[in-house]
Amino acid sequence: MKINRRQFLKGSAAVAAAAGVSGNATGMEVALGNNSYNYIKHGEPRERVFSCSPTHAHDNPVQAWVDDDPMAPANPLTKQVGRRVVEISGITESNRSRGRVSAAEALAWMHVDSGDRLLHPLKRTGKRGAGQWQEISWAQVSGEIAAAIKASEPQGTFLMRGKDTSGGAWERFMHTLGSNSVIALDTLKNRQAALQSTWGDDDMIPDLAHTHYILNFGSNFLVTYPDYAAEALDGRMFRRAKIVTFDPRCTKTAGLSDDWVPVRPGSDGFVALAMVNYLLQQGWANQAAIKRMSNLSAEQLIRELKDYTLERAEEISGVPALTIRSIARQFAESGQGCVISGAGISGHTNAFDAERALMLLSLVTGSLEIRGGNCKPREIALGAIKPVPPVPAHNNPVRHPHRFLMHVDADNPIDVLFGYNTNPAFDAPAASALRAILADEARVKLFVAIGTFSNETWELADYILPETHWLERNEPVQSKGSLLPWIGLRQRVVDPPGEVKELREILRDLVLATGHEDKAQYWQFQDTREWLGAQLNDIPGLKKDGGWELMAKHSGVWPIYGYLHPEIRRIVDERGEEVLPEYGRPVKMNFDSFPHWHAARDITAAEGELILVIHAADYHGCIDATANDKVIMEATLANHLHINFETAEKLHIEDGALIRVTSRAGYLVTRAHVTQTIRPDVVAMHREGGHWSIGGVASGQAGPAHDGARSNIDADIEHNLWWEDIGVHPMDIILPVYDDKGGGAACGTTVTVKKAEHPDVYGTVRVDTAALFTPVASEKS
Amino acid sequence: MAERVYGYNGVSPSAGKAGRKRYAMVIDLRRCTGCNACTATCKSAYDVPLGEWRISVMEAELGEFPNTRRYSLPKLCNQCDQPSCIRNCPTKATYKHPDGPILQRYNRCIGCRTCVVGCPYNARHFLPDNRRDKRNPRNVVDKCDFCIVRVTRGLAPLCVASCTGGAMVFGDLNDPDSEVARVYRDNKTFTLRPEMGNEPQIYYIGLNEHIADPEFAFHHRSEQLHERYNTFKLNSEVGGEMAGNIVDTDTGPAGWVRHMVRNWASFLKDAPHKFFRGLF
Amino acid sequence: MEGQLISSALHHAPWGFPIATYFWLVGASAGSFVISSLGWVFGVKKYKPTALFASNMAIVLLMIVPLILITDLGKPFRFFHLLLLPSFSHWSAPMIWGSCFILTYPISMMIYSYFVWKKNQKWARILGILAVVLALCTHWYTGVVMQLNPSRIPNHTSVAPILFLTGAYVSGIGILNLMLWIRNRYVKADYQVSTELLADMSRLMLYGIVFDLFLLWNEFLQLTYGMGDEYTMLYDVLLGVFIWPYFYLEIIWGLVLPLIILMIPKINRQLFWVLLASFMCATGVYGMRIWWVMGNFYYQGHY
Ligand SMILES: Nc1nc2c(c(=O)[nH]1)N[C@H]1C(S)=C(S)[C@@H](COP(=O)(O)OP(=O)(O)OC[C@H]3O[C@@H](n4cnc5c(=O)[nH]c(N)nc54)[C@H](O)[C@@H]3O)O[C@H]1N2
Ligand SMILES: Nc1nc2c(c(=O)[nH]1)N[C@H]1C(S)=C(S)[C@@H](COP(=O)(O)OP(=O)(O)OC[C@H]3O[C@@H](n4cnc5c(=O)[nH]c(N)nc54)[C@H](O)[C@@H]3O)O[C@H]1N2
Ligand code: SF4
Ligand code: SF4
Ligand code: SF4
Ligand code: SF4
Ligand SMILES: [Mo]
Repeated sequence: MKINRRQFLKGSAAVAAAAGVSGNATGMEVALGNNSYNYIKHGEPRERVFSCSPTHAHDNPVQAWVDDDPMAPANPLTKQVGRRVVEISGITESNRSRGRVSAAEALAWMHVDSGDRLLHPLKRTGKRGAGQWQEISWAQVSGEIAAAIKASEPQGTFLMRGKDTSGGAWERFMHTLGSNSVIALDTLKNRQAALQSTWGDDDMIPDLAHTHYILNFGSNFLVTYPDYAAEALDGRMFRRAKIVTFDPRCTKTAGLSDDWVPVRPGSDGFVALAMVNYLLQQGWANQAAIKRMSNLSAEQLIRELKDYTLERAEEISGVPALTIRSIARQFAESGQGCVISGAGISGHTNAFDAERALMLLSLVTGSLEIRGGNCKPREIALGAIKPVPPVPAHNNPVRHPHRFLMHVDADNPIDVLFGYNTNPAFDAPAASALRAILADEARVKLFVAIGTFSNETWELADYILPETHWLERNEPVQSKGSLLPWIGLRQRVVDPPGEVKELREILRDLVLATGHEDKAQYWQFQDTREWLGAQLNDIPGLKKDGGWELMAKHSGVWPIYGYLHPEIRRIVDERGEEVLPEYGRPVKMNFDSFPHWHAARDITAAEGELILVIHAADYHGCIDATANDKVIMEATLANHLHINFETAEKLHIEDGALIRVTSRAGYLVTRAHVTQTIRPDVVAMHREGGHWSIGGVASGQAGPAHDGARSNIDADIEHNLWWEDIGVHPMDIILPVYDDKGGGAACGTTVTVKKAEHPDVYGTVRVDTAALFTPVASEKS
Repeated sequence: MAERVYGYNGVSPSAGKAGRKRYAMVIDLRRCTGCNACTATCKSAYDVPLGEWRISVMEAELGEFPNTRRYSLPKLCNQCDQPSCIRNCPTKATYKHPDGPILQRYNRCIGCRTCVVGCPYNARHFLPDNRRDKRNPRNVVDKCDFCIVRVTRGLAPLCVASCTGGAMVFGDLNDPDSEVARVYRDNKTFTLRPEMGNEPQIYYIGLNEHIADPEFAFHHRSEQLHERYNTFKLNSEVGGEMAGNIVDTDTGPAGWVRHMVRNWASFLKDAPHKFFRGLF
Repeated sequence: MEGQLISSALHHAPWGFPIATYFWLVGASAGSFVISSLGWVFGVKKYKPTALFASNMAIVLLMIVPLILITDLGKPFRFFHLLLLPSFSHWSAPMIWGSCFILTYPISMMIYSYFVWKKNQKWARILGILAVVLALCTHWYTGVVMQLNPSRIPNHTSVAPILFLTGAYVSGIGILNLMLWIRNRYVKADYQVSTELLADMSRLMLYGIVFDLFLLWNEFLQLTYGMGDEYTMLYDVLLGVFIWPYFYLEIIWGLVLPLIILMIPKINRQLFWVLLASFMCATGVYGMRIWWVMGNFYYQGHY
């Protein structure tokens, strides 16, 4: 099935052949990618280095274009002339990016020489969070942190991380220290827990490339998962695939879907169960699939589902019974439909069961592990580097990572806390409470942050260690979201500035500084590229295809399944046939604890209250300081409160009016965006507003009005930045409420909205931090 | 019908001419997610200053709840076959490439901005003195060049290559086998402001009549957009010396005097550096 | 509510007050030169005393013009691309016609002035005719620059050059009157211009005002029967953003009030009222230059 390395090297001949087979050889007069030219010096070809961007949920393979122009102006950050990344585009051979990039990916190279980067290890001098720092040497930093690690119990060293982009380095480090204590603020925590407990994997991949019906619950996937966008829309064009989106807001995805169903937040689980019930009742369920894959029989399901009628679903979800019914029938009839679920589902306290209700829908329609349905994740395992540190015997003390920090107190303090790839003090619910905890030295004794830019969380650290940007480091990457699994590389494209080091080197030096011989044996490498090789060459089959060095030079991903067909836009083999995944992996689902619906506690609105949902911002990316990106910020509308036209009229709020949004924890002052694109009982803001750290563009402290801002090393920012409104930080007023079963945070809350009163100024956020802790008591489990 | 050519140095439109390409783009709006990847790649590759765009995505919400739709409309230079920008340019600084794209000769351009006035699509902008890369042209007018450097080397324009929705198709309309010709043939396409007679070479599938209408854009902007626009006009240094930028919340007699003073002040302030930085 | 635009690229107005001012100066120059030519070209004897001054004033006004225009360019030192390099000149562009006019018009005026000064009737007449034609052309082309960019309201009218010219005529006489009056205070009695003459000139101005109002009325009709965008323009000049420069400054202050003043028999020959009306006309036309230039760019800013 797959084309091997040697064929790949024959390169262009095969591309022509692939195009020729479909009879359109002349049709391909322009190629989608794989070259770049110096646009100033009219057409000099550029050097390329393959990498994978961590910018979105799936690490898309990209190519970084390097200009090594002796005439080029010096890098504004390092003042050095020479190699610079100047463009990023997608890899056409990759079945993920297929030549495309998102806005956030395309702009990532600008961060490399951003003036806001961290360049030296910093040590706090004033109080925590006071913003007073002193530059110190790596030797001193490593020494001091190693001493603290040694002084604490192994389990007392914690890692708090977002997405793990380290290719196993963190795990190795923690195991080396003998610790399992990981606070994984993973994306979509509740979803992962639900899936894991139901079918043993924590993800579910929609086969968008071949589906005929996309049933989307609470995801803005055309924007948030750019690799899905082209696949889904190809489907619309080539197969007339239908897209139906359940979302209280008309997102870009909903707006482009065939149908937007403005569902009441938190009710999707009920809708799904009612659909399942209806299909079973009508005899449209796929009995064979149920028998094969589920531990409950159809009869048992019918018994469990008897209360989930279409009428009650209408009552609870606000979606007409007729609509639910016809969607259910169409979805079942399509035979090749897939379900997508997103943060909208995972962000409520009933997420665990709602996710499983959606799985049940896939099950009864027989759309699991079939072409065009939902499938199990596929992955290629990375090799291990020997010797491997032993896994510590005790379990991770962090069972509910999202609420863990809320329970840290002086009696159960954290000795050493490492922070990586996350910013909970800004974007987790009850952010202000988390800031209070992290700033308290009795609760968190030592806080070490590792990052490329500062952020609102790192501001509270004792040390900030400057890490390379992803374009400056060597890391292996495993495919996500793909049914044709691959491994890829993040490669060092350019050398890091200042005293910046790669994560692996930082961790190695910390281990070595502890002075334990037995620990040092796991960290014997001189440079990170050597380490990368050791990790990859172990992978079965890769050696035969030429080894990772060849892969690094020729595509950055492995295996190469084929070539991008310019017209059908699929990856095809040398005969021009589309390369298909292997379907039909065995599935065993467990619905022992039946996914009954219960109302979400985070969003139970009383009379006069509205439900506030907070969602990912368009154009921004996760695990990235995109809020400091001038082009992204220019395109981003500030997160004014989206409020339905009728609701606004009732509250006498005009478009653009200054308003106060009050939750039980406090209030914020923003402006109203009056719109027809949201349910009357829901209001919404995106979460990328009101940054005060990260950098000058994010916080509005750069530009013509701010002389000497660090971001202003870019003359364009210094002179041409024109906007003022950076939005309002919403996460402080969100109450800390968690899904008991999934363990993840809910990100909705109920609020009242009214016109602002006299002293209110735009951007104000006032919260009673103590009040944020109160609900936690009731949440304890 | 007699061939109409605007401008004496104008190359005639290449439609149907043997040996010439007719580069054109079809944008299928049923596939445009409004993700702005096109804007981002273009802005970063060509160092397009803040506050100016070679391509931008216009966005509208249409209809009444719950029958609401959201429309995105990417807009770039239409590479017109009858380009009013060229007709207006006194120095032949802008011209039509035989294969279609409308290009700029930066070293001829005097920065008079008549072409900007002439373009019905607002597809042109004046480059400020301050750019990320100082080697790039300044104080002259710029526009989307259809990525001519890439296209002449067999590569699709950057925006097309990055388009996450796969909405943009680029190629030679003269070649009946090309993808762009096929998509153009198989679908009903529209152009923006056809009544202007510019004969745009950017074709849209599924263009919504409201969002395509400048009058709609003017009358139905959201308050947030309105406010953004006014900050833009107040803050943008780029617009300084040429800012007939009326901040429409300030148009009483005193406001007009303020506009006048502001405009003249920046005109005088910008004068010395315009004269003496980079003499020609 | 059919919907709303929530996001869009934003655009600068490419031209601003400097260009509006340039239109105004060119117009005033042309207007005052027309008066200058009345005596020597058209043989209206009583205007002969004003001729030299009017022509010199026209020259001075026109000298400021290139300063503004060149400074307004992005690349000022490249202005010669417009003039000296035939291979650069793009003849379909009104700007190139204008460049020719702006270059030749002051020169012909200077020669004309020389002959007027020398009292050489024959050559003053010949040069005068040439200069009048060039004066009209110079200002006509400014109207054409706008007219030929019809994508922007209010340009969409071939009346534009005539409106510009009428404005020029009115404002030119207005300024000339004021200047002559100022001059009177500094020159010997022999050279002074009589109040009688100023009043006669204001009479000429009155015809211009009436004609201007007539044209504006036609434009108004056009707009009321126009398509949507024209209707929008109408709203904003009468009730919205441009009400001050258009309605108050141009119409009321610059045309209607002077019209009334100049129609009242008792006062229309008194120095004060004549001068006041002249001042109003001259400044009122500036209002027209402003709203026309700015109005062009205001609407499409969102598109
Ligand atoms: N541009 C961009 N892309 C991203 C990210 C980003 O920050 N920016 N983040 C990345 C990450 S970490 C993740 S996890 C993904 C998240 O990506 P998505 O899963 O697409 O998450 P959101 O964009 O937050 O969309 C959640 C949607 O759910 C809706 N919603 C809220 N409550 C409910 C409900 O009860 N039912 C239903 N049906 N809908 C509801 C909200 O209105 C919102 O539109 O995106 C990834 N991609
Ligand atoms: N209300 C609401 N809240 C939400 C969500 C929601 O939908 N609604 N979504 C939730 C979800 S799904 C997620 S994933 C989280 C996202 O929230 P987080 O997991 O906190 O992720 P980011 O906000 O992307 O923060 C990542 C930080 O890592 C830093 N960083 C970037 N690149 C690097 C690097 O190379 N190395 C290092 N060391 N650091 C780097 C950046 O500076 C940034 O501050 O937010 C959650 N919060
Ligand atoms: S869109 Fe404007 S700039 Fe582009 S060719 Fe047409 S008239 Fe010229
Ligand atoms: S600004 Fe440049 S390109 Fe535009 S009309 Fe003037 S000279 Fe020509
Ligand atoms: S064709 Fe090239 S220059 Fe034009 S908008 Fe697209 S990327 Fe920008
Ligand atoms: S990149 Fe493509 S899908 Fe995204 S906004 Fe641009 S045209 Fe639309
Ligand atoms: Mo996430």
